[in-house]
Amino acid sequence: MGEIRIIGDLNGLGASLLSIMEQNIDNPERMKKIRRISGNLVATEKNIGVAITIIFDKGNISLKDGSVEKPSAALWTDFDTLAAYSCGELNPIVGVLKGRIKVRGNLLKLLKMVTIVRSD
Amino acid sequence: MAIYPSQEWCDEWKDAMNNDPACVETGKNWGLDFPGDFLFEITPGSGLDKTHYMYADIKGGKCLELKMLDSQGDKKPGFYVTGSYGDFKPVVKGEKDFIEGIVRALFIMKGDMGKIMRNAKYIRAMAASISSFKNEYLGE
Repeated sequence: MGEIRIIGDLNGLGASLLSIMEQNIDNPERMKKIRRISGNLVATEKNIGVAITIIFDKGNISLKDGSVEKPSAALWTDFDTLAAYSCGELNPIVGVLKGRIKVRGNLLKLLKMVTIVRSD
Repeated sequence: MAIYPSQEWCDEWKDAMNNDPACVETGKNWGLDFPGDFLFEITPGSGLDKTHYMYADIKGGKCLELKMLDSQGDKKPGFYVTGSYGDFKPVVKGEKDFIEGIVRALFIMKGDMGKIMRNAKYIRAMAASISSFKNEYLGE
């Protein structure tokens, strides 16, 4: 079984996404998309302001509480939208176009990186 | 009015969940192929003198059992939620959002959080049903 490295204490957002990430790291199809990626993704629950950073290092994945200063990509959304995305109910492009998800940084990289929290 | 927490309150919440169409509909797959029971550990403060435990067995959108326990005992629930009475009280009153409490880590939930993400609508409906009836509170 693969392992997500946890840096420091996790907030509730990180704890909520961790089990999906742990399942994905054992999914070769899912990992194929992100195995070569290096960079970090900051995801922020916009209503509460709680953020996590997912760090990608060519197949090694770490998760930490809070944001980093210059992420490769960042997204802001509410918990329900993140939940809808993670269970496959929401296409992220549609989410962005409808304004439910705000993004910044390398969008192509973001779309690959964010699959680590998708469970469909 | 039932005092939160008490067995009378548990009975009212069970009825509220089972009579709420949103809970029944959004929870129809909850606990069918995984343990969907909850154990709530409510820690003292804000009028509560000692730790209270509340066990909820939920399956397919229906609450089968909801009762106060003297201790955790030998229960191994699918989801174990810990929080202070002071943090649970505003959720029961409908003033604070349970999911916000999880994200802020006011409530520590142990269990398959992926199931919570995949069933966020049900968790929200279940949490909303808590505040759908009037209660009395300790320390007020």
